[in-house]
Amino acid sequence: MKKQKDIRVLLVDDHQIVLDGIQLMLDHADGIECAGTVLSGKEALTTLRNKQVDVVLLDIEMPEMNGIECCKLIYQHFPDIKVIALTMMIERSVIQSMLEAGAQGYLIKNTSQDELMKAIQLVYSGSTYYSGEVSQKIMQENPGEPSKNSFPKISRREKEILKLIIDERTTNEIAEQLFISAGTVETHRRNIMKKLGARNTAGIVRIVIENKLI
Amino acid sequence: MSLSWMNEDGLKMKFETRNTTYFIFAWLLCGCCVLFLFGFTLQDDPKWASYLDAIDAENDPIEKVERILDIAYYALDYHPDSTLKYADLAYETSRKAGHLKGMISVEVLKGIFARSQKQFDQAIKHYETAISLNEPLENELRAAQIKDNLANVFVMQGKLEKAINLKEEALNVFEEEQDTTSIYIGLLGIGALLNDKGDYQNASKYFKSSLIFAKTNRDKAYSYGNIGISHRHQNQPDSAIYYYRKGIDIYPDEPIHLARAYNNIAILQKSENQFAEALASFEKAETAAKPLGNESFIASIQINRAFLFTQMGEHQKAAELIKASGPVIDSTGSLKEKTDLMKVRYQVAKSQGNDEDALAHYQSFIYLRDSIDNLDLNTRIADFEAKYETAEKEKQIAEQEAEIQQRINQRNLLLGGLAGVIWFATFAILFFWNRNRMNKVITHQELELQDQKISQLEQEKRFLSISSMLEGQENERMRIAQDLHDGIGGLLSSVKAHFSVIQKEIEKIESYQLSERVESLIDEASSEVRRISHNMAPRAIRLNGLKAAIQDLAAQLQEAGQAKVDFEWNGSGNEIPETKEIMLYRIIQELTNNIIKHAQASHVLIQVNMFDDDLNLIVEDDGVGFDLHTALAQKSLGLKSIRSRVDFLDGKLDFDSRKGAGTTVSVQVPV
Repeated sequence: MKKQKDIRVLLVDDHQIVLDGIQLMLDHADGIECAGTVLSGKEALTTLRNKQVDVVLLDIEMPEMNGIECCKLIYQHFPDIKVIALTMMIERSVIQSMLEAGAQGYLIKNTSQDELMKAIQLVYSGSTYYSGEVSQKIMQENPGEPSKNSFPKISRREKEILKLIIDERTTNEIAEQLFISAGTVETHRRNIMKKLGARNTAGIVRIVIENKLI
Repeated sequence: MSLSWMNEDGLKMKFETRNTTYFIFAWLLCGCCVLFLFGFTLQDDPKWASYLDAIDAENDPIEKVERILDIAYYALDYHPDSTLKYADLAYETSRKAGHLKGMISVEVLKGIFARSQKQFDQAIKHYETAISLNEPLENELRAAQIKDNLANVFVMQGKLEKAINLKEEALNVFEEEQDTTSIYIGLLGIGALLNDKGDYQNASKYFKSSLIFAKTNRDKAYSYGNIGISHRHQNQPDSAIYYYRKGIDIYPDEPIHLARAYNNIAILQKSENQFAEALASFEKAETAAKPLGNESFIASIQINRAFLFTQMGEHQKAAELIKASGPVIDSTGSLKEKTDLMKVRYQVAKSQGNDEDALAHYQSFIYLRDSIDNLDLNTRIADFEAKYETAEKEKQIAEQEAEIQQRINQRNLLLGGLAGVIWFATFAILFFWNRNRMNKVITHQELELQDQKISQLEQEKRFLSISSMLEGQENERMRIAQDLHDGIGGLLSSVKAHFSVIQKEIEKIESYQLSERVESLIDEASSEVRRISHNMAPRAIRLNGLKAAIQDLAAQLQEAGQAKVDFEWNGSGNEIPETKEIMLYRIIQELTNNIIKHAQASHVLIQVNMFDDDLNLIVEDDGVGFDLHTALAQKSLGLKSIRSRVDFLDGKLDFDSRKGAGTTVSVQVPV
């Protein structure tokens, strides 16, 4: 028979006002017990060594040790303890970092009591929980990472210029044809050279032909 | 930058008529003055006579010495040439009577005199003699008073640290001996020095302490005035004006305090750009100072006023003011006053089209400015001078009536002597001035070079200030974003938490719709705060670095527009400092915003290439493009701010865009 005991939750946030608010919600929640509140990642790790905790609600932006680092450490030293990020940051890169660090949940701080309870219960039982906004962000298509050749991708404009370079046009001729200044042509040429690792125009031509870049 | 008065022909005319008339008139006036005032002699001084009588009437040698010292001190102020004569007399009389104290007093007097004549080494010698004479008497208080006077010499030599240390030593003794008069003067003196050093906070403390030891209302008024000055320097104009007025209220009788207080108020108003009020206060100061007849004092106020006139562009009024006060400042003014005067002269000469003088004045101004010693009207040490030697503190200011006489006499003697010579010189000068017109051209050019150099310096300064403005802007934004996020964001989530707990109870009483509404309002507020904070500052950079932050931008761009976005980051290894990272982020943010707003693109490439010694950023879209020249004129594309940021990074910026043919922006930045 499953023993029904309250889920023990540790709150970690560097703002006391947030801790008080979340604690208030936990106190009114059935089946969940607030195991403590700490103001830093360091204190959190110490507490986890000495107390029995099931779920950690972890803020991300904290001085000295941020949530991502703390989450990694919890995952490393206390693999059974589940972590839910509780934050106001919804930047994609941050969500990704937290998930990669081992968080099973990601909640926005303006969560309601119901959502908080649901998240804790789901994560405790082994599932994941992301609040609505967060799911949307994760669902968004990643900006494409063009397939990596050995060279950075040549931009559309650079390709146009490259064609004319291969045709042995001079800078001024290219400028006239494309209706841009000679300075701009030179900027493009220089960028192309750096990307291809060529030392001069001849080098550009050689590399382009060898690698069939156009 | 061309000077508007450089029109040769106009110059000829202006110069001939205006300056010729000016000089003829001036010399006419001089001639009249000489004739009119030549009669007065030095001995036309009633007080002098009474001092002499007092000496003759005294038989006791020790008392006689005191009477001689009285006249010697009076002479120090009003007939300086006679000072040493009476000092020596006092010394002889003391020596004959074996009156050591008298001899000490004489040495101190000689020290003060030498100092007023700017013979600093001599002054120090006298003080040291006084100290050694005092040793057998073992009068600690006296020794400390002498040291305090000695410190004033160091001040005039510009050795402020040395002076402060010595004064603090002296103050300690004053406090041990519990001589309140000396303590008061000691505190004031140190406060004034700290003021000169620019340590306004501590100066203020000393001045406030001096209040406790101020016995008379006059002394209190003095302290209040100085407290006011410290507050002005600490950019606390309200406190400054409060204390100035307090000083006026507590002792309105004495003209010099009134004049000083109004002068200070005027300076304060000037710095707050309240020009009309400042003018009014300067006039009040001058009016208060007039009965004193202390020319150098009035001249100081007039220089301040003239300075204000030049700032207001009223060069004619400034010119009139400095006609009289100029010579007085030249002879007796402090370095700062002379510097200000030279600046006024330069402005006036320039506005009158007087190039030669303008150039000369400008060069003098630069020279003076570089050797400025910071003493201004209000903290001149001479005013603090402790006359320990007299039985009661001499109210020197009240005896300024005699000074009018004396100064007029001296000036008239000079005028009388020179008038004849100058009369003849006038015609010679007028003749040579015609010749000098040729030199005007050369001077024009020199002056123009000066102005060019100035505008170049100003440009460099502007560039530097844009850089620091950008940095400051970012710091500010970071701070605001942080505050928004942590402060209001935190509060809102707390409100939500509290509301959440009682929501069910509310729903039992009120309609479900109302509580839903409240909840969604709170949520909206939260997400607004997040959005604003996010736009303000890229806080993700600190957590995950620039690459991740740009990834977020790319994702945002893809969400917002209908474009397919490619983000590529090539190379690694170079550590970029956070300020630079934020700048780069801003540039990309600005560019992607433009694409969202205007481009209507379907494909966007954001590429960051990290090479060995530089970083190359390319943002390319296939949208509608823009015409560079029209875009620069408009503000909507923020091209100027992008350029400022690229400049800040010492980078190169290139826009390649044509209407209908897409846009490629290339940024190259050294790392």
